Amino acid sequence: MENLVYLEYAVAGFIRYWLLNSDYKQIIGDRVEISTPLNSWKKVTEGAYLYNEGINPYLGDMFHETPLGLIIFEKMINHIPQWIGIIFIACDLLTAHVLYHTAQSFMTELSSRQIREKDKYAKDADALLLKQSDLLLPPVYVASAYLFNPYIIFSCVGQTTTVFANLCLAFTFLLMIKGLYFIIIIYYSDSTDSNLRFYSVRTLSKHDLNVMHLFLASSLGQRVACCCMLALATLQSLYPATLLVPASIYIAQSERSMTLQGKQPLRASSFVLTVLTFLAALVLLLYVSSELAGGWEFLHATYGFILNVPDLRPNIGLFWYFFTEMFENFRLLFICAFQINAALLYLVPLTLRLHGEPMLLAASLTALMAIFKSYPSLGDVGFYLALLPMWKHLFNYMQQGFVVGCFFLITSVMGPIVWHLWIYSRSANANFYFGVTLAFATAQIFLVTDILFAYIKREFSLYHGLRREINGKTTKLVLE
Amino acid sequence: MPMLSLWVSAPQHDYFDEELLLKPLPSGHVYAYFQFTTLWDVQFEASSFQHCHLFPRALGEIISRYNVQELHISLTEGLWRHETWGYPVHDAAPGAELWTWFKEGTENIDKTWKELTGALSGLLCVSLNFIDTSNSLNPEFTFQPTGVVSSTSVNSSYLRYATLPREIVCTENLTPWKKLLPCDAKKGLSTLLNAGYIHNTNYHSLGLHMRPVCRSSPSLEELNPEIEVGTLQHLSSSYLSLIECAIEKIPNIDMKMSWSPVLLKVKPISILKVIIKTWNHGFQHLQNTNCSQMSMELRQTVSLVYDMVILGTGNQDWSIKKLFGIGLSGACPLATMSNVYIDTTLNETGASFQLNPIPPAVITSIRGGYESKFAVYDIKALDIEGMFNIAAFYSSPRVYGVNLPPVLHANRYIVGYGQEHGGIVTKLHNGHWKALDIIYLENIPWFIPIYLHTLKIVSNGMEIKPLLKRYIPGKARTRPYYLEVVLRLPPRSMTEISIDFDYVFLKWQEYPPDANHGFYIGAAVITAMLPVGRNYTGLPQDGSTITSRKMKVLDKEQLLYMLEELLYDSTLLSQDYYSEMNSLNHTTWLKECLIPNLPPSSIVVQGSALNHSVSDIFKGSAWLAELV
Repeated sequence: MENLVYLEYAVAGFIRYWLLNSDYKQIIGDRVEISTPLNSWKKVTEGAYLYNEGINPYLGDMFHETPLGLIIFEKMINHIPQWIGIIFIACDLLTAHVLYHTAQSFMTELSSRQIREKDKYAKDADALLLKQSDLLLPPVYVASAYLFNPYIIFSCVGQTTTVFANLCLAFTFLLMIKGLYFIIIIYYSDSTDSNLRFYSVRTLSKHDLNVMHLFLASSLGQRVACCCMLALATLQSLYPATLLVPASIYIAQSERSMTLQGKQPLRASSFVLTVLTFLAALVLLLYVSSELAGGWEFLHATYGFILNVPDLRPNIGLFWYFFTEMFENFRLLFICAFQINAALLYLVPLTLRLHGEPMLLAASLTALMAIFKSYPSLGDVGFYLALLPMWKHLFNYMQQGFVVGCFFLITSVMGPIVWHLWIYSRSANANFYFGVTLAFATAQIFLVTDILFAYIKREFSLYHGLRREINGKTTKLVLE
Repeated sequence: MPMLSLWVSAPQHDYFDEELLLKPLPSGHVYAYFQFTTLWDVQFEASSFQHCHLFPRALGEIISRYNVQELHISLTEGLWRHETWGYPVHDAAPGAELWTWFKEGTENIDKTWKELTGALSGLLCVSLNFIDTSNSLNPEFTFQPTGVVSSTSVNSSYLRYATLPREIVCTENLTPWKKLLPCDAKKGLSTLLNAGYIHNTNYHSLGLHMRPVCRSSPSLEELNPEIEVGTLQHLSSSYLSLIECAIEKIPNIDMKMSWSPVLLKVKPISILKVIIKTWNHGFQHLQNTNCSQMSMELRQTVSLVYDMVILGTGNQDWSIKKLFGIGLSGACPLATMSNVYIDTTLNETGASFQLNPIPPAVITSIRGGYESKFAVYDIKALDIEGMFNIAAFYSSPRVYGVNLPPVLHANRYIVGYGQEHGGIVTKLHNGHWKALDIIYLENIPWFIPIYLHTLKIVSNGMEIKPLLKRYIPGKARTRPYYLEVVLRLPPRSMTEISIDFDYVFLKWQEYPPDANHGFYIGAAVITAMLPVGRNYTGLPQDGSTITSRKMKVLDKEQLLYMLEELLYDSTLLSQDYYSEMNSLNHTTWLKECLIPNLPPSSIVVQGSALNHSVSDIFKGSAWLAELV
């Protein structure tokens, strides 16, 4: 299995390398679906150039990366220009690997929860239980979905900074779950359950409990590392801040496991501490950024740009068309409405419903972020799509896979076509392209609701049995 | 009572000169340049403008109120073809162009600037009120003060420059412009300015230039020899000649030795910084020295280029009557001088023409090594009864010869396909045998975001580094992109400056009416000191009238030249078919613009297409009646 994954890395790396050195690189990098004003490499180059010339890149409209990014990219462009492509490929492969490990940890978590909760399940729900074979493949699928998703490949070949944002996000996911993962290993390694035993023994033999693992296993280490990664992701694209909720749930869970008080509710102090750690990390990063940039103008050029949406260049999101056609006096109102929708609206209801499964919460928040944020790109979409195979056991309960698949396929083909008609042959207009992006967003929303509903259905069946009868009649679960 | 009458008739020390220069261009066009100069010996203070004599009070009030030091407005339609027409007296970018120096110590210049443009838009019926910080620049090198500067510490923060390339110039601008003249259009040369004939030309440009000058224009002999010796040592050869004449008067041979060009090649960048400073200071020195008293100078100009083929009657003969539709009925009684000049230089090289009546005088002017001949008609001296006409008769039919283009000329175009990414390419041609230093100013509106890292300057296949570069990135809806580079154009070269940009997607209400017309981008401005006076018609820096051009017979005079090259337009894509003229806009326009301005009980008949039937129109008016 491991060998298969490494082979995949090699093939995926080769595909990326080939495309990066082909003529398609420029075409891919110029696509609006892939490069937005926030992540385009051309803008990064401009920013680095201005920085080199001694002009503050945040004065103008062309650069929206953080000062941290500015310094790093400037060094890359000026000192190791020949390695830039390699760096992008390496980061993408690393992201895939991190996701692979995240999925592995998640599989362990799934089986451990199954052991824990088994007593509460309905009697006839045995068919629904996960078997060892169900847990083997999903990590490979996750890595493959990241490595071979054309959206991700294009995003990497187009040299968008989404590659680095995805890397930060992937590390956040891994660090979220990793603490719990090791605790499970430590405390359940003598478990009699074959599933779990399989995992723990395998992992222990491979990694051994070295210092790093112990550090991660301690809740402090996990909290600091996870919050720092999350702060880094937030610094870069703001919206990941919402992932603080699943992260703090995970950290609280692992703390509870540490103290062997499995049955007790999660401690509020743990949440407060996590939030404070995150804020401290973010403030520190912002402070470092302001020192690097020599002022706070960058806030307006980065967060101000994300929030105010001044650039109405079309992308796969929903903001551009709406704010192009907006009456100016309603702009503020709708900016607030759209941003709340993107970041906060779903946070509370999803948290209330999914607090038992923080990974699904994190994944669905990431997905909603990618759908509703102000400057989304296909790289963001590809990232959450790669997470989905972790819930492969839910696929049987999903109803709209075919519809969503068709939508993705059609919009991916139609998007460039109507763009060409509009921008180059001038025989179409903005409405055509907007129609395609709207359909794409709708498909994504279908996908997210479908997987969430599938989760709820499976959970319901686990606890209430497979036979659903009301007054002797067979009933159906319907999403309302 | 005697006191009062004395006060009223107190002599105002002001003079008004009117001049017309006619110049047949090698391309067969005729260039007509009117200049109305008002010189007023007055202290440049706010209180002075309360009593105006020849100086237009409407303008004077604006100048004093907004602390204006120097003001230049031009309203232009058409494109000046430098390559075939040579250089005009005043270069002007198409559309409206305005640049102003504010007095030292003016506070909140951006606000004053906004108010000034508002006032000027009322004065001249131009949409100058659309000028604000989002389309104004203060270039560091270009647009140096042309008049006397009271202090040497003036920097470009007191300068504002803006263009409105889309502005259409028409009679509504000409009429208020004429009202600023002492004789209005009632008498004198201004009677020749008839809208029907002016707006028929290939190129027409109205100008209004105000600056403080020295009361008695100092000749170089009077120059104070204490020019900053230290800075002079750093001058490069191409800028040197400006002060060269003055330097000859300075009895310091060592210093003259020290600015040999060889020495100067050591560190071009630092030298150039000094050059530009010294260059500006040089001008200021030229005028500041011995300048204890100042005068106000107001020049109102009209440049016209007639295409004789379009105007023509089959031959290339032209006359005042043919060009302006009317003969000359005499000079403006208020004018001190009223002259008509006809450039007869071409008589010797191109197709020769005879003037009728025979010119009373012919003068010769040598500038920048080129000799020009002018026939002069003094209108005041001529005893005109009825209409006076000057006509040129050509002895032979038109021969299209090879036109020698001017030393420095440029053209500009847009590259790229589609409405996503594009580029601007400017080609600068240096036809001189020596390298030429130029200042190149780009004024890119905020909706054309440029990528500075794509700036490429290639000359004859070799990339050249600019000697100096200034760049302030633009910001959507608040600031244009400002790029100013100082370049050394290699001898006999074509230099290509290219830069990439993105097309921006605007909000629906940001599209101008008739959006499919495209968007206009202001001209780039090229400033250079011309080494030779080929095809040059400009006035000397320290002269006020065309006559002063003839007086100066300096062999090595430098010609300051501002080339304002080719605006181009590009269509930004409208988002939507409906955004340009939709029912909402239309209703607003009807309610707020049209209906309040109609006299009572008017009937509006409207139709949006030619093939509308009469019944449609009646429906339209019925709908309108409901609306009212």
